[in-house]
Amino acid sequence: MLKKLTLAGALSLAAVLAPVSQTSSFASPAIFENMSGKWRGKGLVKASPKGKNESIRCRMSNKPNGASRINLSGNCAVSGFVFSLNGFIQQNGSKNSYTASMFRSLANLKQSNFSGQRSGSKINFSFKARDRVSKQNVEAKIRLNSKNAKAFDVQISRTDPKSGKIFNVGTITFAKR
Amino acid sequence: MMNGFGLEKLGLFALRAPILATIALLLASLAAAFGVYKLQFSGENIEILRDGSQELTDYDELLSEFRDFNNDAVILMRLPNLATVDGIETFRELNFEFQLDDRVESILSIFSMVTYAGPELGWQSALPAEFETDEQVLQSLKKLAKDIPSSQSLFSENFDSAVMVVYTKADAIIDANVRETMWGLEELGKEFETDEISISIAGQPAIRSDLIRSIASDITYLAPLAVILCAILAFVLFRSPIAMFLCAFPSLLAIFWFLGGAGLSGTSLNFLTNILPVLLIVIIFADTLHLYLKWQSLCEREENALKALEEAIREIGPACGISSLTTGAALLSLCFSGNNGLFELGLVGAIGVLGGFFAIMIGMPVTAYWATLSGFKPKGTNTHALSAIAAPAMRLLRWRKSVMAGGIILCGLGLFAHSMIDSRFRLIDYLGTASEVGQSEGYIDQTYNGTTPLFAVVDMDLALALDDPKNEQRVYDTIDAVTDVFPAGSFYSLADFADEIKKHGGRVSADLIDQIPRALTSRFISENKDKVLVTIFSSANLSASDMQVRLSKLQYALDKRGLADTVRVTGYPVLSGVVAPRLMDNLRISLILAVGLSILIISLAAGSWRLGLACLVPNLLPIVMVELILYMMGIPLNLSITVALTVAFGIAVDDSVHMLNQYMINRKDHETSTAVQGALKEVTPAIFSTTLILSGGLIVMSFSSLPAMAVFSAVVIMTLVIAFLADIFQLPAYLILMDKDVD
Repeated sequence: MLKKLTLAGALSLAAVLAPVSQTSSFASPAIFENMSGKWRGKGLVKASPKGKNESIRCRMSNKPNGASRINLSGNCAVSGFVFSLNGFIQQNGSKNSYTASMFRSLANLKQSNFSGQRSGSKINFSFKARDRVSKQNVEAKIRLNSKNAKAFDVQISRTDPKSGKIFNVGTITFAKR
Repeated sequence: MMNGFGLEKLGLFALRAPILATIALLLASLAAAFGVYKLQFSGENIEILRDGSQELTDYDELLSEFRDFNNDAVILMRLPNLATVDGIETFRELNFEFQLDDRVESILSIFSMVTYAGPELGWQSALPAEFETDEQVLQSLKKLAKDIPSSQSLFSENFDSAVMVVYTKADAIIDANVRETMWGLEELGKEFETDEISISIAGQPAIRSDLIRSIASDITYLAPLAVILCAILAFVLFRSPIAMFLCAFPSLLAIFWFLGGAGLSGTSLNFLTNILPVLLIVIIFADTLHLYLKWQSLCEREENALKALEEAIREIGPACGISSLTTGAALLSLCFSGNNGLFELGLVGAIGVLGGFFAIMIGMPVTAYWATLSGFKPKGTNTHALSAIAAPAMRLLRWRKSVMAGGIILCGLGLFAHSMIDSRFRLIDYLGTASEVGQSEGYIDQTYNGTTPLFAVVDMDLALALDDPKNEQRVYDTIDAVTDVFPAGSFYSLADFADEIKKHGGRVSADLIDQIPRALTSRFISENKDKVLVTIFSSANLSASDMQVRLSKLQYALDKRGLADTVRVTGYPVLSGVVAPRLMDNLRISLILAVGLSILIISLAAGSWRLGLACLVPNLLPIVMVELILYMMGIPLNLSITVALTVAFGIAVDDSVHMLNQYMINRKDHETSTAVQGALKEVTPAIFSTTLILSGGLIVMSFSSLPAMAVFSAVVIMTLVIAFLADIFQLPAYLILMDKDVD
């Protein structure tokens, strides 16, 4: 159960970041314009390297707020759990640099802001934070891969608190509703 | 003539100041129109049962310390075969769809079942994240049923259906939102429906939504339709559209004022108070007809129609006032039942009857005044021929002692039935016959163990740790007791989790519970860990006696294990199986008391306790005879029938009061027997007409989509007929007997 919560926290991060990849190869206003709308996510994820795969589904509804910011709302569900994705993504001064904050409802992680860098059609995010339950520093890596205008994949990997090694959490595929 | 306590002066005032009265009518109707616009309906059914009893206190504690289980909707998916990849994946998607809906807080289904994989891996879904073959699905479901027996309550044995419990957010299912929420959830389900797959919703929120829809539909369409049908029958009888209008107008006005008053006062109409419009139709139409027929009769002797109307109001007004008083008293008697629902019904009903009296005493004279000014004058019609109906009653007066003996025997049989008849409170009785919710409830009751859980609340010893053997034993003893009465797999508790952990050598602890979201743990343990729940899947649709037997067995099993002081059984089935029948018993006791009270009022109005007493058997007969018929037909009492008996009593008294009133008018100039025969001849056409018209009008209510409303109208019609027979065959005999000493 505990592991599920941690897992869901990481997955929610991925889900929130996901729309960025779709538009990452464009200028900021176009990115946020393309990100607006409703999205469905679907995939398999697991909580630990030896853990069992779990089904995950996400729903998002995004609204641009000015030229360099977009507000996100929605939820992800894993097994019996639902997690809010509410938050925002903001483009920083440099067009390839982003800041986001949408973890406040996810009590598992103390750190609420993270940043990412765009590279072509992919954006790689990484963050380090203290896991509230395990009390350990964890690192997560998220790769957003824009496949086309209406779909993208989110690949998530994170630190296994036990071994300290990064393992592949899973992939969520998003499609526009 | 009876003493109307001066109430008839209202009608005389309206006739003397018609413009003022018309303005008052218009202003009252304008305010009512505003109120009708604000009228709300309520699907509430627990507040109605609230009576300050221990059962309600236990139930309140359950909801406050665990969760509000009344927010649980049950989604039923019926499909050819769940044990296939297509079947189970469709159900999985349906789960996610509901889980991610904004109106939903959490879900309980086979996909939220977890197994413990040891300290390293923790909790994992009991079912795989995806399936590849049908055989894999079949084996997984079989394993789930074996490993977690309570999961058997979430899918059918032959895999043709599955359910999920959807805990809706509280604000999504308040009365104002519940219909929209249920509609939204139905729409979600529709996305998954095919020729072979159906999705339906049951459970409390769905029932409440359907109740509101049905109540609104009955009040909006059926009640006015009943008045219109009564009016058409009045037209057939009087062959005059103006006469028809004059007779129907006060009923329509009373319903309009009633609905407007409810809207203005913020009183939401519920499944009890929605019968009041029918009650008003019955009482007001009957009294208006008496008044009209008297006016018509007096017009034969009096050239001036307005003078005749004034005389009619003087003669019939007191009887109308007394019948309103007795009906109001009968309704007010419900206020002493100590029950919220009945208190509201009694108070709102009494106010409605008062409004109805105003509608007759102002509405009828005012409309009659304007009709007369335009040249209308009531003319003798074929109603005179109806006097012939009184002939057999007059002939029977020769054998009045036998008639009375027969009445007393029937009354005795009826009172026996009154004490023997079973009662049942099923919410689905208040749903339409075509209601999908009702059908789903029936299916779930049959295939699973029902949608409405029963709970055994186990007090934990706070001085000990949660996993202390003493506390643990208390929970397992409770489960043993539950197993004595309910089948394995029909209940779940924290013990299911504890057993899972034990497989890997662990123990349940408060810390471990705190790591699970409260939305899930609230189904097993109270927030401060001092109470543990054993949740038993059950139905709220059993008869009171069936539920009481189960509860007694469970209590016996708990007592046997020394758990009487530490475990309490509660849940909606307790309310429907114990509290609701008690409410019905109280209602029937109130009714018998109301009979006594009405006899007292009649005695005061007649100035003779003998004449009051003469009305006792004729007024008891319609009630107890209906109970006898229901008892013989094996139909248990429900709240609607019990309330219908109150209405029935109002009707019975109404006819008696008019008969007695006429008798007292005749008695001034004639000896008892002649006065009785004169009253029979004079009043029989009126009470026969009212019985005929109201029965005809109420037949439309039998077409209500609500079975309870259909039964209600059938009971009222039966009572109308029996009350008519009792008033023409029984009451005259009693009048002669009780009043003979005066001769």
